[in-house]
Amino acid sequence: MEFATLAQFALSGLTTGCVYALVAIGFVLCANVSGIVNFAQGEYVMVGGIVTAGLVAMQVPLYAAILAAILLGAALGFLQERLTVAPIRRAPLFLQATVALGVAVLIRSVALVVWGKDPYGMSGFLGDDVFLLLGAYLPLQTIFVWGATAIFLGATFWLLKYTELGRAIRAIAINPRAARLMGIKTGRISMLVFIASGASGALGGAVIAPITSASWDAGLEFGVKGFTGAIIGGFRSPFWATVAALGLGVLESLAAGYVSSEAKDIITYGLLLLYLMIRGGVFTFGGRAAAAADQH
Amino acid sequence: MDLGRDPRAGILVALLFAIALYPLLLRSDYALGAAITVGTMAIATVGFVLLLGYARQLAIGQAAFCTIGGYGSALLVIRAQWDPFVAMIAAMGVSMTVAYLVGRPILKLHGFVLAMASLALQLILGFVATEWSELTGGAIGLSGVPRFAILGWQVGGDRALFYVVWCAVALAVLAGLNVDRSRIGRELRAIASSERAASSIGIDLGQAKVQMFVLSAGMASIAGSLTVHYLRLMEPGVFGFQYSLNIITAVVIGGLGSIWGGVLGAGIIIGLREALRLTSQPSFEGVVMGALTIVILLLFPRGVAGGIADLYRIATRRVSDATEKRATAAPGDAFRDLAGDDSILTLDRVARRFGNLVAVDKVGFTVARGSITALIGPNGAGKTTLLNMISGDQPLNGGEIRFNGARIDRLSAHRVARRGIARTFQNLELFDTMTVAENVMCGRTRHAGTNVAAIVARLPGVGREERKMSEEAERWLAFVGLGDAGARWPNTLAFGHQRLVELARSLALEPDLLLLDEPASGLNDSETEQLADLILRIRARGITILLVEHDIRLVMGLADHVVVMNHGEKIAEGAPAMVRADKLVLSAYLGA
Repeated sequence: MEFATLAQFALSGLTTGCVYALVAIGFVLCANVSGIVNFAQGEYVMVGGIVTAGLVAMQVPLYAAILAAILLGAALGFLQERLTVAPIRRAPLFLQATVALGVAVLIRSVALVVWGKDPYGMSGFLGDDVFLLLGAYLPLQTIFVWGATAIFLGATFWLLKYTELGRAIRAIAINPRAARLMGIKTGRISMLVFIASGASGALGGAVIAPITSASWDAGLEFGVKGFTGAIIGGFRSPFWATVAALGLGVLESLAAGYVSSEAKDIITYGLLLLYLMIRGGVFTFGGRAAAAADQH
Repeated sequence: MDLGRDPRAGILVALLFAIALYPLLLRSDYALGAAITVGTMAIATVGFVLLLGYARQLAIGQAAFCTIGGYGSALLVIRAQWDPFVAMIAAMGVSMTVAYLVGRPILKLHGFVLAMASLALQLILGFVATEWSELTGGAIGLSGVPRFAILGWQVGGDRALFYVVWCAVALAVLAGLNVDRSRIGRELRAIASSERAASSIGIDLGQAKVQMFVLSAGMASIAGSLTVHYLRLMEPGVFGFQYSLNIITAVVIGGLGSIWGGVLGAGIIIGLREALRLTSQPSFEGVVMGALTIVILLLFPRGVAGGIADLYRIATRRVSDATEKRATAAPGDAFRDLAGDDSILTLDRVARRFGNLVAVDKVGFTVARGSITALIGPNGAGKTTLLNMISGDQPLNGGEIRFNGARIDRLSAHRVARRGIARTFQNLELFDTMTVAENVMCGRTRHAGTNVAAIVARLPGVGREERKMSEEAERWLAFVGLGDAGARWPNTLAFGHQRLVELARSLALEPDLLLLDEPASGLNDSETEQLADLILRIRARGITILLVEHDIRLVMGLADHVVVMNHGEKIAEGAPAMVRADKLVLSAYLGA
């Protein structure tokens, strides 16, 4: 196995992994504050990509297009939370989750109506040149993907760890009722988290669009893969979700490179299935959870 | 239902007539095709009502099983010349097996993982179908699927297929209704109402959910098979992601809580889709489906079927005809021997920590068979935690618990219950969506012998078991003094009576050991006295009692043996009089 080839696959995988990580962290944070899996998470990435690429194709300046995409993502997150999450906070969880799925379907279907079936390509923010790293040739756009992800994740982790808001989010994740009794405004925080998830997803979509091209149905894939990262990372921990999502991106790229591009998705989705089956104890017989595992 | 007087029977007959006459009155291929499409989808959606509405599990990739059914039928019939009916059943078997293998482990996990897992399954199957072109014909698919046939009998023409499809719909609805009014239906409602209480009476949460998943997969598979015989071809796009979404939307629109909602929803969805096609706006399909899912769930979560049920109730203005059954004699004659002074429950150095807080610190004691043992102590002494560890609601950090000689400290709550330990809760955990009698019937799960297949087919044994369960429930209700409350809803009863219902539900298990968590809290003096009398009568039936209680008078009057805890440790144990004189106990209670 040649090192340069390995680096080529691994580093391109890291790039898609960055977007999965942005989705995964959105999944985890939304689940922490609302208790549901936000199925619309992947659609925000799609919206970010398609709005950026679509506006650039209409000769809108690049920075304005990116800004518009992020704002739209944030606005959608805000609307989703206010209109479909907050009003039914007391409804059974399966109902809330089904509503979130409805939101995802609505967003992708509207995208289909507005932007049509054909994918939108666009050139990199600094053109379509490549650079050499560890023997791998990478598009210049890669730097934007890595940079944007690093900045966003860094800010998120800093926020969670060192600010009042971050502590409140973590408190809600552990025990929403107690958090509310301690005076934490759970409603407002839930809203903020959904806005941030919408914006970060759209940002991810904007920076990856030149590499993957943007299409109305891309959200599904980003969603499932981000979810895979989140679940393998344990779903409660933003950090491990990020690590797992990045790893998934790399693994998928290696599978595409060394096996075949068709095998790529079968392998990742198969991995998700297999992981869940093992977690659920396909090899063990139902017993009480071990004491160490449920000490929140 | 009683066909003679129930007006719903008339509606049903009218419905059957309408379906039978439909192809004769509307003599267009288009109308016939639409009705077949509605029918095939209805088979899948009826199954999905069981999964989403009853078991409350969301599967985003339900069409995966339609795909298995479709390819299974097409391949077996074209490549192996199987009889289409046999092929359909075989494909259904495959679908159900896959659903079981995936669902059994995954449904134990929380957090909507089935949703994504089923989507992953659908995507994988889609890729395999496209890539493995030698077998599946790739993206072009398999054409030349023959017409449907049942064991050699050719279903010639679409009109005959229409009848076959709608017979299958009727069977699916019947199966769904059979589940609805069976013990499994009650178990699912119990789980939806309180998972904790459900497992405390021996209901296996994972099993009930997986049964519905497997059942829904079987129905989806049949829908797939029949569709393929109607289209006469199969390709990856027939059951794509949109089909999965349409199944979900159909069930949401039709009504999550009603089997009929599945059929209604399928009709509405196909109607909408065709309307969009006719107005040449097919790309709006997803927009309409997504928007409807959101709006209906936010504003009318019970869907069209729920709305119809409400209208019906308003129109007929019937007061619920409470079929009040008289209480029969005292329950079961299974009086057990009070076998001397041997122990039924043994705790040995049982420990539980929450972070740095030691809630229960190496506590050990035994409960003598046939005794009334009381566990007392000030607030925060760890009594309820200990009770939760015995009943399987919480894991241990150390030590062991033996029941009838066998270790139970690693068993989950429903397994502990099935061994014969019942419990009540400090805060009442009754199932609000069921009548008092049904609540108590749920307690009979441990003794149920019929399996899910028998229930779906409503074999004669099922009816017998239902009647037996109902009789047992009435008897236990009579035993606690609520013989006439069976048909009422729990939340219409006084608080003290609700406690008694919970007690009757636990007794219906016919446990060897009954755990009572502060049974007297919230009761007034005369109710407490009645409770004491009842506890003695329960013990007289040979049931051992371990009771956590604050009411010292009650404890001292009832218990044979008292265990005192403070700060997670056992500080004293012995006969009531002895304990009452203990210095440590006095100081713990009085703070002296």
